[in-house]
Amino acid sequence: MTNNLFIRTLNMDLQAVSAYEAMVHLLRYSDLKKILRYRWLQITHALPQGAEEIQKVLSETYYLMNPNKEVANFEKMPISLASDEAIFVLSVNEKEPVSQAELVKKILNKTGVNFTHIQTSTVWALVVKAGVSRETQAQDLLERVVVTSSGKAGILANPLYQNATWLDPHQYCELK
Amino acid sequence: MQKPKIAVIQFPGSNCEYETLRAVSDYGAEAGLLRWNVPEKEFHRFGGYILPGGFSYQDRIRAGVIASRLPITGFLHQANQEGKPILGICNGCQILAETGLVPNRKADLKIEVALAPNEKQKNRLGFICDWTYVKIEKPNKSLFFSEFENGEVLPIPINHGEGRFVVSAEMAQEWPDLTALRFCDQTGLENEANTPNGSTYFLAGIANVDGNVLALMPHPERAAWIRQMPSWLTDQWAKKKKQDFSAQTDSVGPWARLFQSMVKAAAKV
Repeated sequence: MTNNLFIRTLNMDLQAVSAYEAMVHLLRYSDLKKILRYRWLQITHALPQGAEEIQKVLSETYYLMNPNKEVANFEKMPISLASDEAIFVLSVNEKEPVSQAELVKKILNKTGVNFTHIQTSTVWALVVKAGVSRETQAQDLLERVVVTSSGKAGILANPLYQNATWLDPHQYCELK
Repeated sequence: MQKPKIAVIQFPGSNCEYETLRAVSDYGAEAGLLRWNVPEKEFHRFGGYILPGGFSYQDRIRAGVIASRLPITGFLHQANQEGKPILGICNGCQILAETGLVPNRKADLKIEVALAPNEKQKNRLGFICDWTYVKIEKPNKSLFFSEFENGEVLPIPINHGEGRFVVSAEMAQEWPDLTALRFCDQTGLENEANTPNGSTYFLAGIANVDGNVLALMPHPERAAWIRQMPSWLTDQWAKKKKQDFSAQTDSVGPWARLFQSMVKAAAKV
């Protein structure tokens, strides 16, 4: 079984602020209204009380997040959306993911909780002015602000070593 | 004779601009510091440009990516078309890679190299601060290496968290004819063990195909004078340092020639 943990900073996320400024003022993508950044942990395990065990790891260690600086949301990201806005959720991860075997081992040694695997990604939630066609808008976002294809386009994912994938907002967001 | 003018570009978060200014001015240039938001007319007064090391925009999103989208990179494109020398050191190297100015094989500014986080065998290595050796390959293809020999091995410090060169599949298949710096040991042996950050093809630096742009992750400005060399090195440079110490002199370091070559090139523009 896999549990999703979306972690974001408690204070102002300066990475998201800079991403917003660069997209709107340098890449001229004026339809962007808001951008949020999360660290997405996909925790695979064979534990019957998976969510409780993850909560135990969060409360007893700093291995997954620092509760003084970060907040975790289980399974879905809470995002507020106005009626004239649309949301696009992008996952960015490395083509050759870093091994988390050492982290899994440390968690087991410290807490006795045995996860099978942990996968980490960065998730960007892009809130934009709603367009006519969602597909066209997604393609436009990919070409203009997401994928670094040239020195003038894209900042969120460098295709030479990163993958960028759209996620279904209905599956991963709690829209308000 | 008037000295050639070379600018060191200061981005928000640069932190090696002053020692870079010192290196390039000590080796023959009239060096000036330019801010990232300098007016275009002021920018083009210079005959060469250096993007120094540091953490522009705190390395937010990826090292160098935000700085690479600033209007000043448009001015750099123009300077490149005019054949002016452009040197990117460490964070400057990351910025140049994100602009497509290196290797710029087809003069289309396509992104063909990236600087990924340091990593070996799927394990993150974090920030590395150390002395390494690099070997210079095809120095005759770049105006920055007019004073160097092919295959020359030199000590140089590195200081980065995102310095692992990754190259596009197209470039890997059809390797361009350009100057490259590759990590090696003191004898010039290139292999994975001698590549501290896991870089593809042991790359430490790469020039553009026209030879007027150079992006390198190590810091030549920190090996431009003999006094900067660590005493624990066992090569000729360390011996020279001991001699200098006894004689109370200060000789030029292994990378002084890079700045001297750049100054010569800027004088011709």
